[in-house]
Amino acid sequence: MCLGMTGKAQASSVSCSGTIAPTTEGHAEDELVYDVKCDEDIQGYSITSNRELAYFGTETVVFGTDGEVAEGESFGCEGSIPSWGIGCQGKMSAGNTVESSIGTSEALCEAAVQPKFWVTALTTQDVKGTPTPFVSEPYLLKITPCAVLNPTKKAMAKRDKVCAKVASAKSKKARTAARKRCKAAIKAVKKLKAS
Amino acid sequence: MTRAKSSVLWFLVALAALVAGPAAASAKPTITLSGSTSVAPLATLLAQKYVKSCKGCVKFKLLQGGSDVGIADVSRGRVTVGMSSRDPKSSDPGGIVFNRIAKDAICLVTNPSNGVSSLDQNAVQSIFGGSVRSWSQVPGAKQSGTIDLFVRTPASGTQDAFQKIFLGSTKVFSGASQKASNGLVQQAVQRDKAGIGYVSLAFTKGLTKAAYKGVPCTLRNAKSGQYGGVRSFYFVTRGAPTGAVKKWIGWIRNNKAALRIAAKEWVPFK
Repeated sequence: MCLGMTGKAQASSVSCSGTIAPTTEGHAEDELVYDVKCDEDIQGYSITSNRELAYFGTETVVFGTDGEVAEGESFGCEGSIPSWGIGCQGKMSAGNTVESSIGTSEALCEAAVQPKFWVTALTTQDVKGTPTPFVSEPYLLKITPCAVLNPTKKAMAKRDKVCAKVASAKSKKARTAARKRCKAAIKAVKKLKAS
Repeated sequence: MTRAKSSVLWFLVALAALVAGPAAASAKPTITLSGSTSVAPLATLLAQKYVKSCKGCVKFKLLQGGSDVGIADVSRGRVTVGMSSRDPKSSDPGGIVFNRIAKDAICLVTNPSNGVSSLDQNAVQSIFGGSVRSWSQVPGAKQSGTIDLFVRTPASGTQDAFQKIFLGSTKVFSGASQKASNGLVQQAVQRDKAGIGYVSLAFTKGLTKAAYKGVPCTLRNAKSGQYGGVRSFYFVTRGAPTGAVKKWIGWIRNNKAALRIAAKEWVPFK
């Protein structure tokens, strides 16, 4: 199947770029908003990631170069939940920007490696008079790296270490201080889990 | 599209899944959905929460296409759930069951520069039926030129519900511009000062909502039953729902977290 598909889906000259960032304005958990722009007209795109995805916006908005909504340009997105990527079909003119959202299964930074998201675009090019679908290479979306990776796991390890000192404290003063640090560590873990 | 383009995109996603890791190759039940573009935003939110709350007990595959496509797909066994934003029709295939999951308000929308504040049923029928073609004939309109009508394509459940609730026996003006999704109607009216259309409440951002029969199109009025332009959202199954689909629908109807999700922009099941 792969060989058959690659025969039709070749690399093309289209270049795309975009950004992705966490948002708290959406309705989904661990939601991120992304925007993508390409230098040729596109008829579809896919977003893939090294994070498991659990949500995606089913309809997108396309903005023109004037910042206004580009009428008649939009994408409908489809995919699996959970998955490692989604596909969107529709149309967007060169230079315009598509905006939508996706959501990750876990909080963005709860992993051992930095999050990465790629966009791959679908274009149609004229090959000897025949409209032929072409697929771009994957382009990395810009994202602000996580300041701390696996923050919950690290906070839990710290909590366990700090709280273990309560029992081993030799003086009453040391025990009180350890208890205080333990409570703070427990609170920090709870806060991370809640977020 | 478009099955060819769709298959290219799915190839890319599948390739990414293979690269990303072996977790994709699991034996969990998969619930496949297709249909209404109005129901799809709610379905994705419910799927995300359900997967998390049942610790990955099930996987979802969500496609769109419009209510008629979802109903046809489920009746042919191509998907396990057809998403419909319209009520059952006598012309629907036999053996399918409409399971209501929520309700949704259809709002009449105009460009903010026009700002029509209220329309009664007679005005809606006159405008969308084509007997009133100029904004100067519409009380409260700030525009004066020809009315640009934006409606949905025939496969749309929103179109069907709009016809049933707002228009009755009045037929939509043949010169109306047909759009394939709520988002496209929203965009068209945002761009067109003389435009008017109707969309699901979740797609009214950037537009002016006209009150219908004197009642504003708000979530509160939809929930209270005061707003008249409310339709049901359904998960359509082949026969009564069973297995993973039955559990999911039960969760949507009864689980507090699910009801909270639905209450954000829709009228929950209860």
